[in-house]
Amino acid sequence: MGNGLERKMITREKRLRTISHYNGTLETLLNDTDGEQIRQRVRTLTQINEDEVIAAIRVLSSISEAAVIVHGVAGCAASGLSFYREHQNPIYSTNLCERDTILGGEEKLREAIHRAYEERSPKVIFIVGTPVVAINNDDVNSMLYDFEEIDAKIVPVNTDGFKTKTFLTGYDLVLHSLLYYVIGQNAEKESPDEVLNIISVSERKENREAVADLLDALEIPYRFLPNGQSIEEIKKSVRGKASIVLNRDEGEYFAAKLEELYQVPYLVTKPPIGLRGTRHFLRQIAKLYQKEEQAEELIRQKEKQLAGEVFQKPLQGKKIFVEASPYEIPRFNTFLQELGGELSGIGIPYIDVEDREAFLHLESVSKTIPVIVSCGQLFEKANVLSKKPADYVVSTFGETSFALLQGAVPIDLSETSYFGYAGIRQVLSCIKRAELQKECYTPAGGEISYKAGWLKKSSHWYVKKEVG
Amino acid sequence: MSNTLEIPRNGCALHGALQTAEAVHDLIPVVHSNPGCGVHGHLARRAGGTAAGKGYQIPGTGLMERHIIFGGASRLREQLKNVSKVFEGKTYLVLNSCASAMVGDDVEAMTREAVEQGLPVIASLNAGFHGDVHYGYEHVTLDLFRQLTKPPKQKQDRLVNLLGILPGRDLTAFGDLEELERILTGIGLKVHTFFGTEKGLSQFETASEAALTITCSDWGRLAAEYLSAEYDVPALHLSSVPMGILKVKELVEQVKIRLGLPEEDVGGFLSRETEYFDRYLSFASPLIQKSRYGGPVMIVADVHRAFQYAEFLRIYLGVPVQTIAVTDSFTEDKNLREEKLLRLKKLAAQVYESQDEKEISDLVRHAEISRVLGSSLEQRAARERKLSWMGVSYPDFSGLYLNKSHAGIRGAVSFLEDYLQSL
Repeated sequence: MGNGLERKMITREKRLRTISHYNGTLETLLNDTDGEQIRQRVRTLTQINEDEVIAAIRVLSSISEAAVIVHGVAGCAASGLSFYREHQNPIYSTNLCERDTILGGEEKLREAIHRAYEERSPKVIFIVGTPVVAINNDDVNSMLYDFEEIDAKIVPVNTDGFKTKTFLTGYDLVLHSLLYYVIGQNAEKESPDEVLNIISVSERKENREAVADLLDALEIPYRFLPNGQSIEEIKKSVRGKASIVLNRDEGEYFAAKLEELYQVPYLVTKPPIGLRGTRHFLRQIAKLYQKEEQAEELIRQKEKQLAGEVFQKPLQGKKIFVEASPYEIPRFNTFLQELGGELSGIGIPYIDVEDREAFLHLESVSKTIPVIVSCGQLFEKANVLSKKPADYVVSTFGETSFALLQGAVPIDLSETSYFGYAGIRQVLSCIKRAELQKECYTPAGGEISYKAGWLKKSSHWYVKKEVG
Repeated sequence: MSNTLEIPRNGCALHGALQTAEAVHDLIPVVHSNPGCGVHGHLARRAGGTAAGKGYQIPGTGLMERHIIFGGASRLREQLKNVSKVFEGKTYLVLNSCASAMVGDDVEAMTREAVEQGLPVIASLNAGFHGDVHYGYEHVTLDLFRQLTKPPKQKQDRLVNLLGILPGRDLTAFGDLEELERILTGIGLKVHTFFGTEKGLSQFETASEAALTITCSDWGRLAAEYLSAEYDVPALHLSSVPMGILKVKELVEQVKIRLGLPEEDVGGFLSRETEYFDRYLSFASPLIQKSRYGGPVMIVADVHRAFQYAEFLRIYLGVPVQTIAVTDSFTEDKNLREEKLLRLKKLAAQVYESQDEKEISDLVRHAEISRVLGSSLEQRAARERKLSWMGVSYPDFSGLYLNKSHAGIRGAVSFLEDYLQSL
């Protein structure tokens, strides 16, 4: 496609030395990830967790003017039900059966492409790869040139479900496909606009709306992409005045490539979490648009409105285990401190060399707090909480059953906003509810319980250094 | 019918096996697959209203590229050893996947090895490509009987097994099992419901002692036939989940004959149930007579549920069923399939088989109906035509089903409420 990108991208483990398995303390994590190479770990006991196929479907199903075909067994597209509920954007499955695992599924893919085109008239048809297709070695890429009669771009997303330990690779592959196939060689920056590209990959609409509120208040034009956006608007990203990324771990690749290939400046920001985080975020963007005075006025006004509740320090003296992406952890730390709380443990699904820098400078945090790097793996989190109890578990991922098992009150932020001033209000409201929940009746047991012997063992018992 | 599916609602065999296993208390499933297989199913059920399961806590081997290249059997061995040290459970059930089946991992050998070391491990091979959730239910249930059921110590002439209601798939599965258990207990029987009860595992062990297996759908036939062949437990096959007093009486009458129950054991119970049902039906009667409740409907459901709702609407509400879209695959028995189709066609003017969102939504768009009883996937098309909609099939995005029932007597009253409220 001639825009200087390789057709296939390097996996995150190689590009950023990302690790997805670790269990230790903040101090051991910083020591063990020091230097050129981060030694990969494996777990010898695991629970099911999200993979890159799910991540890819999540973001693709939010894009309009596109059709998504999951090339695999029907079950590989089952998570699409969940995303359909959110976006009302149907996905297709090639519905492979046993015979196709032997003879190949090209014919079914061909049929699905025709069907998607006829029914939806999409501008782009994304083909999401799955384990069956990868193992069977179906040559999807060479098929793509057989559809001259179809006036839509056919874009492969080379997920396979087992080549990477981190689901983030699914986002990478989608962003790479958008850059390589959708924006591609026709991208021209003839008429640059004043619009700010906000790279949003997995954020829920509540968080996007909270950021939109901030920019609307400053009358700054913006476009979110690719999450929830149309193909045409995604193509316009090359004209943007600048790009920011809501979650650097997820979207920086796209912003960096827009800068490298199309000279759209990438403004590195931190997430607008808490008073300090939101203040910093607003000032950075306002400076770009020379709206510093309006920003200061907005900050003064909003902080005054929130001062009463925040300065009451509703988390005073409370220990909090936080589960979020590593990019968000430093901001959550300052936010919890604004509310009087103390970070007592960290759960992150991955960490790479760039995140490590931020973790080096976590303010007022003991280096002995536990850190778990894992997607899911609730059994390890239960173990950690049994030894280092927390009052609350704040989670942006929403899988907090382990907290209840260990007597901590979960604060689930997975379906609410925690960005900007709207987010501060939402989190304060969640804290109030959590206070009430402490008084609630707790049902005995759960669907799964862990053996007492496990809870006495060290929590990193099943995390080993990878050989070779 | 197209091979391609728009918004596949039926998942895969692994999802069916997993959601069935999750409903057995003290049984810990161990998924031998790449990391995301189990999560796909969990996310779907969480959205679709039936996520009362173990979710992200389920152990899974998380196969990576090297396991695909070199085989994942040793990873399974390692996982089983460690699972037994961490997870409370009386039995561990290994479920394989497309990936592990395609690379040829010998799951059964690994299971045997674990058993030789004293671990309570069994296995069920339901790679996703074998079929959909119905296939998964059918085969994992069979495997649970094959591997858990012991020869009878003593036959119990008042014990029945209840099969064919699919946890994770039938929205009202747990409530229906509870209600049917209540009815059968009411006539002096003991009931093995297997799912959603804390006695699930022990019920699998003693299923051979039962005097009868009742199946509420074709998906329970395979296991029932196994129990019949292996342990001489006769089967009573129903075409739907009994709902309303007439179907309940029919069930009780058949069970009475099969088990030789004395009339005095069932008569009193049925009188009380009749009085209960009639009382609530008569409360609703003035509303039912109003024309807005009487327009023709379309039912989108698995075949056993389609029978259930169509018969109830016709018998008790006098509502004509214009169209039925059957969303599960019929049984492979061609004669049985023909017979079912004929019977369905007596209940509805048009009968279709499809699990495709677009195909079914197009039926909704063009059928001469005033109401849709189906899943949330038909809601949009119903809304376009300003038709009323009621959730009776998976997925239902409107909430979580715990023990709501649409079976028996109390479930029928509950259905009546839902029907009248959904207009």
